[in-house]
Amino acid sequence: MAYSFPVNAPTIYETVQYTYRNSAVKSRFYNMKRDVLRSRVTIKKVVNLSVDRLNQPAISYEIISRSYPQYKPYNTHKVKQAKKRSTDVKKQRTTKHEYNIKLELEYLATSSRYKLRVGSQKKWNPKPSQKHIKTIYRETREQWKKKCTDRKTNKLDKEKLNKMIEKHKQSAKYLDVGDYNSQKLGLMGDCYFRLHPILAKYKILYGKSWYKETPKDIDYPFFDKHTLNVIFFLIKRNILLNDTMMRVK
Amino acid sequence: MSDDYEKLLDDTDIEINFEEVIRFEITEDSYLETYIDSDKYVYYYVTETGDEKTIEFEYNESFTNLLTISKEYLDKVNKVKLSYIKELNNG
Repeated sequence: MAYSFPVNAPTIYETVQYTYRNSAVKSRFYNMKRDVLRSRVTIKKVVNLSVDRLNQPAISYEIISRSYPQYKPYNTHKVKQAKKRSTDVKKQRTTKHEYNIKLELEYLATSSRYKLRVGSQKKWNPKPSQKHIKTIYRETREQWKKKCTDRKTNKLDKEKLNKMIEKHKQSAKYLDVGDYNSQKLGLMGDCYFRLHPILAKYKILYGKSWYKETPKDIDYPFFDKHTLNVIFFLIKRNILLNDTMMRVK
Repeated sequence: MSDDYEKLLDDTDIEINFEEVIRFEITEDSYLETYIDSDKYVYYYVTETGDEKTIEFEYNESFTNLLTISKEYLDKVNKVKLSYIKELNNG
């Protein structure tokens, strides 16, 4: 017996088609090239049982993977710009953003319906403590400005302020709010705010969506760059049967 | 994370690991799972704050410390596991 998915749930093929044809999400195809899968992908055949289905086990497949963005050589334009301006050539970003991917299928083919989650089940922290974040919040800047302003002359000591900012940047661990949520909580913004709400609407989100509002320009499930990479990898390795004759480069 | 972070892996370097499990769905956020080819049992649940937790144990272990798992569920899963293995062995 096959595992039951919602009747209106899209197939992998339909979702790939939507992702490719909708200008609001098509960029995930280009960004997919920057994605790197971890060295192990697990494929779990799951015999599902529940209280009301004890004597009728339902089979499903679960793909478990982790992936991260590869910045080199995609950010080299920044290095070129720096050279042009004869400023210091900054090293490319090496922040380690890595996400769990859980893709559940009825059977191993592109015509299968699915359930998906990218990233952890934790809640997004919109404003982590300033001590963790290098980016200076507006209110922090205002407070520090006050501290660095002479009460009598009302003159701002810019050098002192810059030193405070520099010192803080050295001690804070995360670049910005997105970086904190990614590294600390395992959350990817694109999936948390755009993908998961729409998957939840179609009842094909693995786990729950903390963020309920669906994006205005996206009315159908799409795949993010990490999931696309996993799917095309599985097709290339003949694990996922391309029974919908999807074009694979 | 290992040191190969910056290394772009070739697809062929990626290892594919196949597993077969019996999963008993307890609630939307929790299940009990056992591996067909081992004595390992895993209890998975998501906390209110979204933390995913797993407790691994063996069937013969004392279950008294695993307060949230009912012995009844465990026995049900084990029974299905044994009959599934028997079915596999019979081809």
